[in-house]
Amino acid sequence: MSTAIVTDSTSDIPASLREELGIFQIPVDLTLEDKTYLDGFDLSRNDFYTRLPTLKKLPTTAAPSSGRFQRLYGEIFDSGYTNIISIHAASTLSGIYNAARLASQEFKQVIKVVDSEQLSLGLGFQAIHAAKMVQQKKPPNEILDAIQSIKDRVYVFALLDTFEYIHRSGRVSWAKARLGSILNVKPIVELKTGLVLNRGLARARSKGIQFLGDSIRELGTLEYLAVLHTNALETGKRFIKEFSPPEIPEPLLVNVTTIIGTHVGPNGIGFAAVVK
Amino acid sequence: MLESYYEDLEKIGTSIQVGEGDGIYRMHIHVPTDKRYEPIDYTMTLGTISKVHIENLMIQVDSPAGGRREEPLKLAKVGPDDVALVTISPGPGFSRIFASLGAAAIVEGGQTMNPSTQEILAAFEDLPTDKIIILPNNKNILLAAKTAAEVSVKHVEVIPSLTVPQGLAAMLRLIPGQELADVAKDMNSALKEVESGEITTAVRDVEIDGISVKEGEIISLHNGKLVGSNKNLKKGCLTFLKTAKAEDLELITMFYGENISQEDAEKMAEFIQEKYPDQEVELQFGGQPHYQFIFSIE
Repeated sequence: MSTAIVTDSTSDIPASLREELGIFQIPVDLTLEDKTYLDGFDLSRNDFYTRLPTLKKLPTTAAPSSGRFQRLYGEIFDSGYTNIISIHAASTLSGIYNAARLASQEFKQVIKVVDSEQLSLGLGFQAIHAAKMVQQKKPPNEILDAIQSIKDRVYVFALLDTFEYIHRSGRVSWAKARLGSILNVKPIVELKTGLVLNRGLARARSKGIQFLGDSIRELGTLEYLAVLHTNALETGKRFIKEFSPPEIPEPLLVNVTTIIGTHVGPNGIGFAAVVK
Repeated sequence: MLESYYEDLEKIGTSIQVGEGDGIYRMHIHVPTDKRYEPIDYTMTLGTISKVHIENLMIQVDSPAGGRREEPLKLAKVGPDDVALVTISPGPGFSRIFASLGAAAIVEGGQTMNPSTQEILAAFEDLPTDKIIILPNNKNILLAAKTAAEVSVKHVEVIPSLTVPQGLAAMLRLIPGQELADVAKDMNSALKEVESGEITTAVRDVEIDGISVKEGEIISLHNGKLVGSNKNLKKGCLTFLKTAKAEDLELITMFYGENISQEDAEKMAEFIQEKYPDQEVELQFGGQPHYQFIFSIE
């Protein structure tokens, strides 16, 4: 009996790590100026974030169809796996989870579809941890318990460079209401149980970054840490140098998926951390 | 007699105010265009009119420059469980900024126009919540704010913001859904995160802290303390920025007052940007009286 771990491209797991752990990934669609791209293929993140501020129309994102999930699940079973754990982006923010669940109902084999209630490495660490347990030959029920445990211990914070994108995306009510902000302010957000929460506003970028660093310290000892950025590589590197805890001196450094970037804009910085 | 005068005027228009002098009255009213002479005709039946001034408010509303600032403030609507933020604002520009950041009530007031305890109380007593935070934004208003907090039956926290930039820094920590005590704690810690500057013209000769000031000179205050007196505005701004070590910081925000034109304020912002090329300079309309500029740097 062997378990396959499936996730989607909003998990932001670096390709090398994904291959090493044997994680299957389904890409999300991104439509940019009437052309549709598969997230992670045929459009580089650097290219995307450079173009983003110049676009008249915000790009749109779409969950993969349940048909595409069915094909992937079918291929996985054909290659000899006996069951699947499929972990996806927060169902409150995306239709990916629902598409996966619909597809899972077409199979008689066991497919457990999990709502991570997270995005980026907040989701990614759930899949990574699950895949590690598969390598250790742990049974599916233990893996599912461990995923729930990670979910309870994961913290995702970010400093966005501007209100503009999250406001325009219209998916977050408090940001939608904040059109009137006259001062140039940078929102600090937390992603928790599928909700995007406002954790304050910063005016100077350095103050916002300090807030993020302090938040990491307040969390205590960490099991996993990733520094997330939307095309702000240098800021990410400096952040790691300044705020990485001793137990994780070299966290993952990830240029966040275009699917999330569309809604938060370039030059954002943040982290995903799992507390020990 | 005054009462019936009011009653009759109410049939003609709105926003009625009557000022009483020694046998002289001054009356103000808003009326539709077709009724523009009615208040005059009516008042003439009661006495002699010495002076009339008519202004077309529609033009004021339509003009893009003036009209923008005339828009009514959109204050945050609070529910019974929300923390309501009450802030003292020294000018219309600041009021708009405070409103955009989520203030539930704004009391006008500042350096030479301190609101009374009553005025502060009146601003929040009718709000549908018991959780109130007051930002006085001026050391002369702190006491009135504290008295208002003591007198009120509501749970009121006064954050001792002594300048408007401190008040703005505190406001950024307003997080919907948080407990009053937590918000107050966050806001208190935010006060020291900004450097405040005030640039104004001296109204008399004085010597404070070893700095001698001549009437008409430009004086610079850093966090409320006099740090220099200069012959012109440029030097006044630079003296403050140097004292506050702006070169080590990231963002210089300049709020220009009612006594300087937008054009002159823009020129000054350009000048400051040239002098501080590594810092971000942001210019905003504050609309405060007396102070050409209020600076916030962080």
